[in-house]
Parts: sequence; structure tokens; C-alpha cells
Amino acid sequence: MKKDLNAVLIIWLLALLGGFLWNAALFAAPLLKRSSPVVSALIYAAFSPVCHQVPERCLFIHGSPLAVCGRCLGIYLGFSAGTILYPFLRRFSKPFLPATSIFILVSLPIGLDTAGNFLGLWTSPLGPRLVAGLIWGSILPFYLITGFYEAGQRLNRKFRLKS
Amino acid sequence: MNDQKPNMLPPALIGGAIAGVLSGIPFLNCLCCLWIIGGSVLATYLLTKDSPISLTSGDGAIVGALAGIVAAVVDSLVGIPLHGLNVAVMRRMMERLSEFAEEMPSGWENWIGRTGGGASIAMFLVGLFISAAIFAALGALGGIVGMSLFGKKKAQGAGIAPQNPSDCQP
Repeated sequence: MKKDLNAVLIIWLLALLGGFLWNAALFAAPLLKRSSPVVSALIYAAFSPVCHQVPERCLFIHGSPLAVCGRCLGIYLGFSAGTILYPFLRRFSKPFLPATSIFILVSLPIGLDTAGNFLGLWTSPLGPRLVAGLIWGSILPFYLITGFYEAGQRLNRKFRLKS
Repeated sequence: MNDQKPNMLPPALIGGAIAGVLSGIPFLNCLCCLWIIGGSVLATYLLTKDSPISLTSGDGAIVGALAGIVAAVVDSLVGIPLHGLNVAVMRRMMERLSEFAEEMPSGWENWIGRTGGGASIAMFLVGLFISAAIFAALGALGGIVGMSLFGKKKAQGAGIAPQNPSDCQP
């Protein structure tokens, strides 16, 4: 039981740190543009495979867009918010996946918004994209922590069997 | 029981290849990281479909991460012939945006110029490595989500606990 607690705590801390660094990089890209243009360009380039980075869909800071669009920013900020909330909702006991119905519920806003925009039915402004991403991103740490915990358990079992 | 675990490579290759192609094509790539997560969910679905035993979310994380790495490779390869097209699309978008230049912060029109630069093999490999790391993380997440959706239907795995106890909760 104590082992469970330690493992979940370590995964949670890594998720918290990873989320913080990830989000810090998003904001650092425009902020470093004048003082460290090379670092800024590298950050933009690093995020370009996972986001279209279209300027009209990005938030601007100091005259430059963030490294990802509003929807992606929402997902990543939501991830960090969900990670902060995790210990209050689940503590550090053995983790389990959220109910499918909850996943469907939080996926509805981003699903509808994305489908509507993709099919050309409407064009959402930045705010709703950000909020839809925020809602969806907030549930993701509950999956990540459970999945990594179980992957760790599986690898642990494998090593123990081998040795 | 682990001997019965299905081979993760074929589903990871299929899910990753589809995600990589879709995220590499201009216009279609407007769904950003959702393609990677979607491809990993597909990989998990393919994995669980023919699995004789119940799988855990850890299996989802592993097959999702593999699919993410495959997607990064495919995305990079698709990006080579489409590089010129990508730059052209961005330039057209910039021209359209310039109509609103007075309402936009100053200097915004220059930030995209970096996409037109040539890329060496070293830069390509560094970019591929970074993409693979990011895609693997997102893919693992997608794989876990996929396992929560498709992984709990098999009950014949001897002695395996239910995948998602929370489904019994409100």
C-alpha cells in the first residue's frame, strides 16, 4: 500500500513538473523572442509538429504569438490544472481511470467545437477554443497517472520475473 | 498470462502511420495533437479487438507511446515533400492576416519567417528526436484513454481485476 502511495506520488510530481515546464516553454517562446531569438525559434520549432501555430488562432504576448494555438494552450493549461487538483480528488491511493461517461461529457465541448470548425459549419473565436481545451485537458492527468502507474507495475513484474 | 499478450507492433504501426500522415498534411493538421491522440486510441482499439485477455491502461500507454513514435517518423517523412506547400499555405495566410495588421500587435508578421529556412540532415534528425519525444508522450496519453474506452470488455483473463472500477461509481 505504501509502495502504491510512493509510486503515485512520484508519477504525480513528474506530471506536475512536466506540465509546468511544458507550459513555461509555451510562454517563453514569445517572451524570449527579443532577448534570446535562437532559443525562442527552437521552442517554436519544437512545438510546430503538434500544432499548426496559425497566428490568428494564437494568443499574443509582447507582440508575438504563443508557441501553440488557443485550443492546444487550453489543453496544456487544463492538464496542469487537473494535475494540481488530482491529490484533492483522488489522494495518492491506487489510481483508477475516470468513468467513460465523464470522459464523454468533458469531450463534448472540444469535440463539437473541433468538428464544427473542421467541417466549416462555424468559426469559433479564441475564447471558446481555449475553454473547450481547458475542460478536456483537465481530465487527462487522471488517465496519465493511472496509465503510467500500471505500466510501471507491469515493467516491475517483468523485471522481477526475469531476475 | 503475459505470454498471451498480443503483439503491440502492428496496431502501433497502423495507428501511428495514420496519425503521422494526417498531422503532416496542411489544412488537415489544424487538429494539432488530437490526431496523435486519435491515432493512439485507434492503435489501442486494434490491440484490444483481437486480444484474448484483458489489458491494462499500462498496455495502452506502451502501445500509444509506440504509435506516437511511429507517427513522428511518418510525420517527418510526409513533411519533406510537403515542405514547400506548407510554406506557401502559411504565406497565403500571412497575406490574408495582413489585412488586419492595424489590429494586430507589431512584429507578428515576422515570426513565421523561420519556416521558410532550409533544413540540414542534422536539424532534421534533431527535429525528429524532439517530435518523437513529444508524440510519444501524447501517444501514451491517447493509448491510456483508448484502453479506458475499449480495454474493459474482455472478462476471460484469469484473475485479472476489472480495468475501470470507477465505472461502477456515479
